[in-house]
Amino acid sequence: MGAITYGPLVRIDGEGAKTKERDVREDGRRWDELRPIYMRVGMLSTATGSGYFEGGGTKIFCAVHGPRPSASNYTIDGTMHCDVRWAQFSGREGAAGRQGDSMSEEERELSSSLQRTLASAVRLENYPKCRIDVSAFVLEDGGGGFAAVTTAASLALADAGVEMTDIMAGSTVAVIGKQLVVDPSAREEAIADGTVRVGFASQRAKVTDLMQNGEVDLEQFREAIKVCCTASAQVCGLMKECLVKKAKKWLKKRGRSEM
Amino acid sequence: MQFLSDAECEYIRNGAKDGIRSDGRAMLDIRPVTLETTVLPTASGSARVRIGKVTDILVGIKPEVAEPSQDFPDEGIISFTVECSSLASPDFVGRGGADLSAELGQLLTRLYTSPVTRELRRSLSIIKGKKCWILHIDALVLDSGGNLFGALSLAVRAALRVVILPRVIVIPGEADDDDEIEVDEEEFKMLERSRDAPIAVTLASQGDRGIYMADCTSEEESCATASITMGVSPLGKSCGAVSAGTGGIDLDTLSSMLKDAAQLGLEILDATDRFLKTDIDNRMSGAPIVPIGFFS
Repeated sequence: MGAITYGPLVRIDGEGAKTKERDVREDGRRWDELRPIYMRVGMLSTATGSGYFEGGGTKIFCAVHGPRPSASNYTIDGTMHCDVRWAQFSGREGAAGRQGDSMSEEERELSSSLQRTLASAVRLENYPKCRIDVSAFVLEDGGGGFAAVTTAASLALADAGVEMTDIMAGSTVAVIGKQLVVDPSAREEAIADGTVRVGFASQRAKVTDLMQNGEVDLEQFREAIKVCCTASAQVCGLMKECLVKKAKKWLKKRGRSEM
Repeated sequence: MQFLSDAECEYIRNGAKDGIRSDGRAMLDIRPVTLETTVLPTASGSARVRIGKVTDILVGIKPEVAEPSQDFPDEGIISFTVECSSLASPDFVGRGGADLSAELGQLLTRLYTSPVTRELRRSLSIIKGKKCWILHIDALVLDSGGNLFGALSLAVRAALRVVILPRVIVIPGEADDDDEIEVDEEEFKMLERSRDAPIAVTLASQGDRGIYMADCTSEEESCATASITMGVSPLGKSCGAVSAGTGGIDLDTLSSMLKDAAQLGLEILDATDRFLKTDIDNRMSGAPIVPIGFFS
């Protein structure tokens, strides 16, 4: 478990916080409790927009460049390119983030998965002949890395002022025996029978990305998706708060108190 | 990916709303499947699957003795290479098929690293931590007409059911580390646990709530808004799932899609197992088998 950068952070208690006393996890959380979350936008100076997400030992940087004129072909709709990388020191086994340009197969798959999730909300039709580049970098993966990437990338897109119809957050649920465990740590992920990851668009209440690894009962699977959506909706609430705070600050700097 | 005009898409979507598809199938019907095993004399196990006389997949398995990975010393290794040849679609010319190949390969890897197939991988172990079988499974997409995931997983499973491995004799050495192995080229065995192998089922949503179809043609695929591919084990468990498409799916629809995918998966598994049983029995008993051939 990596060090936590800032405190005190936003802590989300699950609904079952009081009733499920006996299901306390290794790190003292309840089964449906997320790790403390910290978010920030606009911390990278060269990017159009940037987002940082931290949840427990998972830390993600994400930058958005563009929309800018596409050098290649003419396209009626804008195009979006995503690039997800795990740092070599991220603590995730088998991750690339190695020298040179080649991405590991997994990173390639996750990049296209991220592209699909984001494209479901970005109004690409308003950016003809343009491309938007989203690069996410996982500094530390203490479990639920990719779900956090979705969240950080959404924040960065919003920060860049890209037109979106929705805001997306990701979340992971691990199935350990009969128990569903929200936002698993790396250790919990390693011992889990299966994991379910969902990208969730909060306004439309739609699942934009789904991935399941390992082995999961059908009923558990359906339940896990529901739990993921609830968790993602909580995260979306925090994201909005974070973005509004940033916007207010920006307005204040320009001498306007109200939007 | 085929490009359809808006009007063509509208036609397919409106049909889907009323439960009608352009080839007369119901929403969850699958096209006729042709399955032939042991089609490649140079591979230890092979299968060819065609769906609806369009989608065409050829799978061959080459075994090799290797060292097991350190993380799983008592398990063999199953490795996948999927090649989307430029025969199948003009989109695959050059490096065009690389992304799709990676995606297909990742899904297969996901299905075959799941705990569902742990016993199958264990049966590939020869000496714990020292020697195991590695199965190189090469899949070739010869023609693509939709439902690649389904066809591919079916072909891989069929090839695994019929693969034969030479018998391996372990010759104990003086110390524990000195064990040697000898491959007996005369005697072969089949993989007992290959029946645990899962298949993948894809259901595509056509934008409207509660409307989704199984075994899409490429036209239907290109106007689907989102799709879910789920690995179904013979016990009805989900052993790997991915989504595609940018449309998003609401929770209720997703939930019923997963239920139907599992149901359909079990039906397909049941039907193919019945076929494979007679196929294997016939081959064992030496009964003459009429090959279907490449151009039936």
